[in-house]
Amino acid sequence: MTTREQFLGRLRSATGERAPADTTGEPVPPVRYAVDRSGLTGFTESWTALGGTVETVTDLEAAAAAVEAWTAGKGPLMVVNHPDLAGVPRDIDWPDCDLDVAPDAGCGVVRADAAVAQTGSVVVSSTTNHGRSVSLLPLNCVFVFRRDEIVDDPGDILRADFGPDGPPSQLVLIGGPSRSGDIEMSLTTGVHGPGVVHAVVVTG
Amino acid sequence: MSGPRTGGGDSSPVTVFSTCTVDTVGPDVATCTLNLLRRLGFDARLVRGATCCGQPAWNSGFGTEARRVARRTVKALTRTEGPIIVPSGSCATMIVHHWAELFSGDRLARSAAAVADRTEELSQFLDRRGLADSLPERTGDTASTTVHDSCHGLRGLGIKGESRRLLAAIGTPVTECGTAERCCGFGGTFSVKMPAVSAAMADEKLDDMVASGVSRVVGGDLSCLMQLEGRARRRGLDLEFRHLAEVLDGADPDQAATEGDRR
Amino acid sequence: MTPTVDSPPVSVPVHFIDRADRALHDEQLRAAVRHATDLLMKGRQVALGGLEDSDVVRDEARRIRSRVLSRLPDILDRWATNLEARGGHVHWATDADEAVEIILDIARRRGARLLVKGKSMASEEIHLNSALEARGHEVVETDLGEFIIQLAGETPSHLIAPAIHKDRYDVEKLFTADAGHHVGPDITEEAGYARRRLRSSFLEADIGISGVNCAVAETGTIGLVENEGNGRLCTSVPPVHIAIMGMERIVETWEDLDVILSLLARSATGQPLSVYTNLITGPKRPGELDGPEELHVVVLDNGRSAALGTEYAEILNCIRCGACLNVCPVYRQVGGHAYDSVYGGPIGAVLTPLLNPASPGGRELPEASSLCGACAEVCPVRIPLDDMLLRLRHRDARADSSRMRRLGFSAWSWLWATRPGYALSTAAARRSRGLASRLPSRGWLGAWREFREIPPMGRRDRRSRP
Ligand code: SF4
Repeated sequence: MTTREQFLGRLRSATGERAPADTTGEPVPPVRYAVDRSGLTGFTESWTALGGTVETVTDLEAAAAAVEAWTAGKGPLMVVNHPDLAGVPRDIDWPDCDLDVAPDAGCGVVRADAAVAQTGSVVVSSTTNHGRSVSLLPLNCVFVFRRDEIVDDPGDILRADFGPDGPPSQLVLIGGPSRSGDIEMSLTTGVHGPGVVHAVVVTG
Repeated sequence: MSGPRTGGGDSSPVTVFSTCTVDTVGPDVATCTLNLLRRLGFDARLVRGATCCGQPAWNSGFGTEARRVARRTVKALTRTEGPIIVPSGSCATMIVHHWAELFSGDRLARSAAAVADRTEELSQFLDRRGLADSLPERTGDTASTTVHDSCHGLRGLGIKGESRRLLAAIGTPVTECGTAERCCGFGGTFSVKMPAVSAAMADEKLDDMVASGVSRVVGGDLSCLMQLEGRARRRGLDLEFRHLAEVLDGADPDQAATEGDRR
Repeated sequence: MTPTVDSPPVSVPVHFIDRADRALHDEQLRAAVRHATDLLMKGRQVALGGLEDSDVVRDEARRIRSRVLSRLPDILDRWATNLEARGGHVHWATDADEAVEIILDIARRRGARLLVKGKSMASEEIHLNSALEARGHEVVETDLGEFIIQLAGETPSHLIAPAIHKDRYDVEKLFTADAGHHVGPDITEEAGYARRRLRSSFLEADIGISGVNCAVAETGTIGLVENEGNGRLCTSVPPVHIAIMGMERIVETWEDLDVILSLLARSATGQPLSVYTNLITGPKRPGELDGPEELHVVVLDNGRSAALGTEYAEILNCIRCGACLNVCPVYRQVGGHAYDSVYGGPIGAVLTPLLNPASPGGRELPEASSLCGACAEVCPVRIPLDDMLLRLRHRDARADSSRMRRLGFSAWSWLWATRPGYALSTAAARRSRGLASRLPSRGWLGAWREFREIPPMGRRDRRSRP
């Protein structure tokens, strides 16, 4: 089997001179967009254009009520065990549950770390949410976050300092419902991931 | 036809390089280019002794052969005066952008570079010097016209608005087709190495032209026009194909039609 | 499920021109390709308009990719060290066989029965599915388009829209056969079937396989973008995740990644970002209930390093957006299968001869272009694809061309290197035009006349006028 040294050695002989590995050259300027989008208005515009829905509430208590109302009748409710979601009633308490029951959930509720106004993305980390399934397996998904967690551009997330622990095992930017155009380029939603997505933004 | 206005040229010398395609299949394009430039007041002359820019061989991967031919053309053009005007975006691109590589290390490299510096495609030359306003306006010409942007003119030289501005100046409105910038399928030897694909490419443009209701297609490259016209004739489509130089010079299409064996 | 990979093989013609011919007679295919590529190009245009100045961003992206390429070994080294520190395993595969061996080894060790796959061109490149199936493993493609063509026993025909050559009625037949009951032709119903059908595969799978769109060296991250969520499922649900990564699919920093991502989905599908931008750094961590216990990344050379340090090196800057396919007038007429290569369209016509110089496609595909340059014009990282096609023609012309062709160009060049030779031959050509359109003809003239008339372009001889 080829070792790293052998593999990279072959590349080195092809690329020539060895350059120091820790210089990144010139700084990379931020990506500039045609239209500035920011805050709740910007996020709402982009997220709804992608097919998501948004609801604003003033505090966590109201958020819990909003989640409960939206998820009613959408099947077993799986909720991430996060202090901000403590008020949300649940059928499955993630991760204090058996992994086998996760596929049965009809609706997931996660605490999004942030949202991006420019692209209408919610940012979901496997650290905050103790894994990945809650925002992935159910057909419906609610993302709860605070208004001041909305950043302008993807660069505000991607260029952030992840600290000594580095990025989480999975950081995902989610832009609306799962979609596919693989049959006749015709748009269908929910082909694998959640097909109905809702953002609950806490403004207080 | 309103009276010809002259101007701009000041009897300054310009050289027309007719290109091998024009010499082989459409010498009238050279005639029209010369007439046009002379009417605009230039002392326009056809280069003597030039042959081909070498592109057919170059694009097929035969550099030595391409250079052998292009050297003849460099030598001939070196002896001429003033801007070199080429009624072809494709040949002009070859000279301006590819000769440096073609002649790299060659004895004629510097001459080739000097020739390339003087070379301009026809519509580019006219437009850059603001000669549109000096062109004779033709009020009687009502043929519904579209422009085909040849790939090398468009992407190699950045020619797009030039032909439209010039046509507008002679009173010919242009109907834009959605496929104006798409390749006609000629591609030199591509047209005969992959004839079916090449024809399919032409067909899509022709269908678009017919659907747009135009009756005349104007282009800056005879090779594209030959491809499109050859296919249109095979399909029995009622479309007329004219080089920009012919239209600007006001060459009478009817006269041409009597000479051609139009079906 | 038994994917119908061993359904009766349809013989594939050896030459591009014959495969193209077959495609030209397939009206459904051509209409589908036109429809898809038109939509994608329109989307691209709108999406690039979302950037203040897409040309500036494209220049930046090209700079980033070229910087990475010039220091690729060090950047890969750093990335591997960082990923291993996060508990990931990095494997180095010189060629396709080695990559397959590595993956088979993991599958054997894990006693894997079922593997689920997200879309990965690198896995196509190493023909992974057939190798796994030969050893008794079951592989299920989970991207909707890939699932469709797996059922059909075919290969992808487009980088990002693998099943554009199939319509809802084709899917109806395939899904109905797979389900044992009627499914379709309503597209929503078909997609719903795929969701249910593939969901059980995800939950049962022992290993998930994915590609990599862009790794990030500074944190040992791999990035995977997709719209359906199947990529996220493949990399989250099964206990083992194996990612196959072309060795050049990497950037140095997250700043770099920001720029690349701002162009990738815009150029590919006309989206500001794909629905899922999955950024994975190692296997699951303590406190996480799900996620793979093992993460393996197989770094694939498979001929790529031969392009490093050459005039073709820039082809490794490709971010596989597919825009060059969508704009290519040749691809538009014949679709992806005519290229008979993992990579079709302009990128395939350049990459195939470099990765696989001895294959028939390696020699032929550079000819499958009119050199119109539309590909280079849309490439987000500004790869001069048409220049490279031309260079490949120069590389191969002498060795490959028929004797006739070499002699022809040689004779032509001597003739046109002289004034009399040129004058005589052009005059002869003008005079014989009438004759040429009547005589039975072979060779190039015959090829011209097969589809076209010889137009009466010489309306007036220039010597007849001043
Ligand atoms: S060559 Fe350029 S346009 Fe083509 S797939 Fe690669 S990045 Fe996209």
